Amino acid sequence: MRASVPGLPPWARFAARRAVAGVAVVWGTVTVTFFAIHLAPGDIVDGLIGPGAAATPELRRQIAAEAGLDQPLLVQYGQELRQLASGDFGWSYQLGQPIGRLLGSQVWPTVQLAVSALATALVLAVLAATLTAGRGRAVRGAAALTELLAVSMPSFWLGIILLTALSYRLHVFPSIGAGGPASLVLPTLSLALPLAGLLAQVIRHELETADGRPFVLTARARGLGERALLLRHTLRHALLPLTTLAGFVLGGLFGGAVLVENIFTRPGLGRVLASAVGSRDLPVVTALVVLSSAVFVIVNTLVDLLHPLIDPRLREGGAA
Amino acid sequence: MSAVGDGRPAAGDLVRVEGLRVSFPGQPRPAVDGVSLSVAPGECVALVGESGSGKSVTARALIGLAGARARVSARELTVAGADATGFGERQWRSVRGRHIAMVFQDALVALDPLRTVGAEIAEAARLHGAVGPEGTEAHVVDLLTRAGVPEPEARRAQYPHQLSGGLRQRALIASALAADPPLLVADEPTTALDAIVQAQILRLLGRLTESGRGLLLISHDLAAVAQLADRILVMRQGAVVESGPAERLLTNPLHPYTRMLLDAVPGTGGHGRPVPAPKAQSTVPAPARQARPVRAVPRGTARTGPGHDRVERTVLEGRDLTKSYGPEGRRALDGVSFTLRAGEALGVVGESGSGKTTLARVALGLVRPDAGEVLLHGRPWSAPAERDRRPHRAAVQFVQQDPYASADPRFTVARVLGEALPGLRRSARAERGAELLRQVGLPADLLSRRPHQLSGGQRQRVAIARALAPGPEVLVCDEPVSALDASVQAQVLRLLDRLRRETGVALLFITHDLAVVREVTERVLIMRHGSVVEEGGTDTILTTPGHPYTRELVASVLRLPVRAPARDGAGQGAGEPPLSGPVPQPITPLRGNDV
Repeated sequence: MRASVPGLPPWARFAARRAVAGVAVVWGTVTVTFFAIHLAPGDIVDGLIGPGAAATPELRRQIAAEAGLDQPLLVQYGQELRQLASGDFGWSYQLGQPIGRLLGSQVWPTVQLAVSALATALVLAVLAATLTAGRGRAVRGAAALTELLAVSMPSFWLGIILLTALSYRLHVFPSIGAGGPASLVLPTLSLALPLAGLLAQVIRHELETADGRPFVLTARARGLGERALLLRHTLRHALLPLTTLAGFVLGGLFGGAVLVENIFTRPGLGRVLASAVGSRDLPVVTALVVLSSAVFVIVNTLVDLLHPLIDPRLREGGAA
Repeated sequence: MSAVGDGRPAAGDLVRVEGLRVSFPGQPRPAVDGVSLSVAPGECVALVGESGSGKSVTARALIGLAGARARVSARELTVAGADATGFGERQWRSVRGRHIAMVFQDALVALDPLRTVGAEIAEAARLHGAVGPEGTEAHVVDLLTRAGVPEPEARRAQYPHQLSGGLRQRALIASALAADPPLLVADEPTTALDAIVQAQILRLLGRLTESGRGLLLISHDLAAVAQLADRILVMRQGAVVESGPAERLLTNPLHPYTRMLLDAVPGTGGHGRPVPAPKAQSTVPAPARQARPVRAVPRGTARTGPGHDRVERTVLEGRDLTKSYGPEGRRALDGVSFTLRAGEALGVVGESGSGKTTLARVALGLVRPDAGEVLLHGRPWSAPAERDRRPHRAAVQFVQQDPYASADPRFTVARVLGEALPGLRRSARAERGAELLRQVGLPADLLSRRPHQLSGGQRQRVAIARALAPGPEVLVCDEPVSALDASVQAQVLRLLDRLRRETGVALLFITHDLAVVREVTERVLIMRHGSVVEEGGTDTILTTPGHPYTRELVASVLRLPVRAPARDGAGQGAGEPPLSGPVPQPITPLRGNDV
């Protein structure tokens, strides 16, 4: 790994290094999840049998043996790793279907929700920040207060408020399901508003920092207007911390999706995860953990690859 | 050379301001208070002052960019023939870049680091309709060529950080010229540059005025200004204290402050040359017992007393030092050797990238050389593990360029000094701190201040006091005065020289500035590209440089014309260099030379 491969451009070498590190991260999460579930109090066999069903001790032993649960923990761990490495997530205990197919059918609504929430948050944040950056005290104070409210509002509570107001009372948007764009609006807003509050604060701070830089003075001294200054110069400087943060919060979006999908009774991975955890459906939980950690690693690697495109000083291996 | 009378109304002035006043809310006094100036076509007017004098605010007020919170008023403000006192933002924008263009210090940050220099220049050109979309490329190349940038087609696609300091300053000037403004305002345009490059950029600016452009040159550096200015205004605390034709003002200054500024220009001989005799008894108050460092004194060397047999003894020695950085193995040091004797001041002179800072770090034992070694009192200094070196670290201390950045902004002076005095009790530490401050010429009541409450000179004195605290034998000074105003610079140099003579501490003095090195050192190494190109007595090297590079360096030292009623006596030509002693080349007038 350490030896540099000749002939590869720096970004490809970087991506290769990150891929190796990413595999290590996913392996780590699998390990932690595995031992957390197996060492937690309670019997996994209960999850296999399902709720409400009584089973004799013999039957329980038989079920445990079929699932390999009677083996030593380390052997089970090894089998699990081998299975995951071959790309096989196994079968769901509860639903009795291959997990690959299960996730495949449920992943799309969640991706829709996460991407639209992130995009909405970015647009709202950039708008709020550019309209308020460098303004007077009253404007900035009001913006800061709004953002603080948005950040501190939990998604599930926001979701309920939006449902009550816009769906039950005004009947503007549907309250459940994933039928068409209209059904996406309320879940997206419940996820996006807290995020937008956070991102707006970061962008405004960056814009105001950039505003004090000498190159901004140069641009103004050559007669550049404020809007052109923002679009051509300062916003680009805010992009660097913004993308870093966006990559970070995308991981958090998955957690938010669990709550929001349940409130709005949307299909998606969040609901799958919630029911799998509740019923100790071990293979499903493991698969989702692997999936989300892999997404997290990939997105953040992409963000890091994006940075040299934004800032030329980060090309050439960082040496300025 | 028109409009010589100051403030005298002249019809063709590019800019004229009368009684300019700029104040900021919360400031006790206005930043600019009653400044009047005018610039005519082809004329270079210089605004000279130290930091905080209001010269930059004055310049920005001329294009309506004094700041959002600034309150600007003037009896008259005429820009491009129009009354600008009632200008709105839109009118100011049409003036900026088109009639008055600005060139700031350090193009590394004055140009957008995320955009190519070509994009920046094109933006300036397109903004005022100097070119259409099709002609932009050719126009940018033409501007770069006129600013003296070689290979303009290739350079235009590069980013500021990929260009050398001189090239990117030229690119910045090209962007200012993009809309062909009749007046250029240059705010410290050469301050961040090496001496040779500085002279080139000044020549370029000089050529611009010859083509009929007006130039308002703002600088803290009288020597730089002297090369170009037709008229000079000296500012202090927001007001002009003296103004007049450059020749008169430089040779026959009337105001004491102007005289002080002229005296402070390093290498003018304005203050006495240091006496190179480290004979004086140590007057350092003995540090309390716990704080006394374990000194790496070779056994057998009788320490009969401080100052004894110092002249001969070598304290720090570098042998054939080599250090490379980066995957390409760029040689920052390439076989550098030096010896520093006790109580001696050794200068290391080089431009940026010459490896002088790497040498400082290696000498401090902070960077391990790839080959060669540093010896402290003949014992290994760079080779041992840090754990074995640490007990002796007190012997080699460090003074850095930026005193503000080298101290924790949240610490008080007492704490900054206290950190360098470990193992002392609280009361003893305060007492010793006060002693150290007195030693560097500061009152003891500064102990409770924090760095931002001190002036630049005071901060650097605190940094020196901190370096002296553990009782070092070697002080490594890396550009210790280049962040300071000229008058403060002179004081700090005198302080370092006095401390060396009083305490017998040896100085490894690293600088880009030949004039500065002359003030404090007896011997000097000239470095270039990681190697020592010349070594010898400071006077000898400055008067009879052997290596071509040293000759170029010496020739690039900017000089002031000699003062008329000066002690040097009449009858000497106006070209007499202020550096005493013979000079290798006659001073060539910079203006009109091709770059």
